[in-house]
Amino acid sequence: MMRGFTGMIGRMVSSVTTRGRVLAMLAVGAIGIVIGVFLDRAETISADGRVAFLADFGLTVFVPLVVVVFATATIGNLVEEKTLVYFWLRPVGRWQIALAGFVSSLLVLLPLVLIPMGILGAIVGDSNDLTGLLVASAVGVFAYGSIFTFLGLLTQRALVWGLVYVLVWEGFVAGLSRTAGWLAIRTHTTSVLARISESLELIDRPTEQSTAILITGAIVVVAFLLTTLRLSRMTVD
Amino acid sequence: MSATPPLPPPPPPGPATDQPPPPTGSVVVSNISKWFGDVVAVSDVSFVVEPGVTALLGPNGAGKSTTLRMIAGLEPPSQGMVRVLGENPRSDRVVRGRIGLVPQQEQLFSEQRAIEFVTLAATLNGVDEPTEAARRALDIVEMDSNDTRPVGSYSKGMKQRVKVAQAIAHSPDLLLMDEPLTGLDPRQRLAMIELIRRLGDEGTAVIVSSHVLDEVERLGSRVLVIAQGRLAAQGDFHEIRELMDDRPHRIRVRSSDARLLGSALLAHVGISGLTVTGDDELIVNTDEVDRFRASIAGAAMQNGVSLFEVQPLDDDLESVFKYLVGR
Repeated sequence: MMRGFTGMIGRMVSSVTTRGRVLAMLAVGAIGIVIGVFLDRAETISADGRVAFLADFGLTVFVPLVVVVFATATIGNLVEEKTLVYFWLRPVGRWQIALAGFVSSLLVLLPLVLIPMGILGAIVGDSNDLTGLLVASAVGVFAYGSIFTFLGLLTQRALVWGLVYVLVWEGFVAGLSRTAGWLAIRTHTTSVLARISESLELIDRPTEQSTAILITGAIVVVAFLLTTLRLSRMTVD
Repeated sequence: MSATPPLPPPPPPGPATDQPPPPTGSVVVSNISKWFGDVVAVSDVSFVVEPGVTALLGPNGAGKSTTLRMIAGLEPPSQGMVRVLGENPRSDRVVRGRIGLVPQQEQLFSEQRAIEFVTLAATLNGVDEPTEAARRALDIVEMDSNDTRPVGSYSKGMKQRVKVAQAIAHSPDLLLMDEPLTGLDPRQRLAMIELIRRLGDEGTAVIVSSHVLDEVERLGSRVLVIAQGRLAAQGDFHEIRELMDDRPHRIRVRSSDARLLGSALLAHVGISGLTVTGDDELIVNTDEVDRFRASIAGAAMQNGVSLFEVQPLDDDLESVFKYLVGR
């Protein structure tokens, strides 16, 4: 059954990595890198200002944007193209399809996110900033990736709802109260960057690194269970 | 193709009740209904399907695809119960591996080659030698397993055959085919009908949906007629055909003298109504269409009337199905 599992992953990865999507997201990353190069040459920018740029561009814009574009499509494409039936009506567990979707999202997103973020971190920050940015980006890929993979199965307008979540919830509502902030993935990714780069003023009361990673783990597990449940109960076209 | 495995054993004998024993079969459909909001797609349908070919016949929008999808477990009935080989196809993982489905939609994994697509299907179904099974399945539907083109570039008929190949690669016990002859040219149609009949003869329970009477006739199968979401009739094809022929018919007759011919026809048995609609045209209602056909030429000749046209007005399938539902 392992061959079937890897077969599903191969199909999902191939379906989601269209040339247009990859080039568009690489272009967004390239814009960040170009801005980073100019920032690096500007002598008036402080070390904290550089980390703030990494957080604002990397963790607030780039990571959620790339993840929402790809993760909503891993299973979402199959639903939209009405080809999910070719996985669904087989003697495989629903959890295997959910896991294949999540793993596919990670396989596509980790290189697409970490390579531009690695280049950006190396240009703009020091080694702590680079490590912090890479770990925080990976945390973001796991957390956003699981949620948006589920969202792709839940609705055919997943990309729109994903962007609404990122812009409205994380960008606005999460700033209104500490509780709402705790429910925002960005709070935890920024906390990880702040802790590792030792730029604690980056965020008001940053969560502990271990707490941020635990919360990410919980998000991944809940999203995975919801995806499995949805696959069990949905009507398949 | 593998032989159909034995059906689940009957329940152990218990205390006598008034309830009849539950039906057994490859597929047991009990009082299923399906509604989408206010629209009733399938209403209180029950039937049992045994190994062999069974055709689901009905006009477009009659509820055939919805019924097939419920049998496959793709959607739950709003009411009632479906059992495939004794199990619920929506929740039982093992039974899903014994079903092959040829869905109606055309979409496949468009960048894959046919052999890759069918091999993936065989792999997911747990076939030991999936590539070999895929080659055999593609051979059966007369597709080249070495074709390097992606299936997205195939014609509708080729895609249809690839869909059939992925459905039979694991030798299912139940094969569900939603309008499988769509898009095939006449030669491919013949080959597909031959394949369906062969699978049925070998013990696979094959359910084929179609809205074309002639296709169903050539399958030589048991027929379930579905119309307006209800099971309108079921039985051997010839019984259904007779039922269709025995219904009231409306026939337009054009001749050189409609009134004279009408008077002559009224003397014949089986004419339940007649309307003269013009000097050369009349509409006949008859319950015995065969006798009417046999006698009209003689009646015209005896009265010196020339016949120009005898045209059935309600011979389309929609009318037939409406009659069957309204019986």
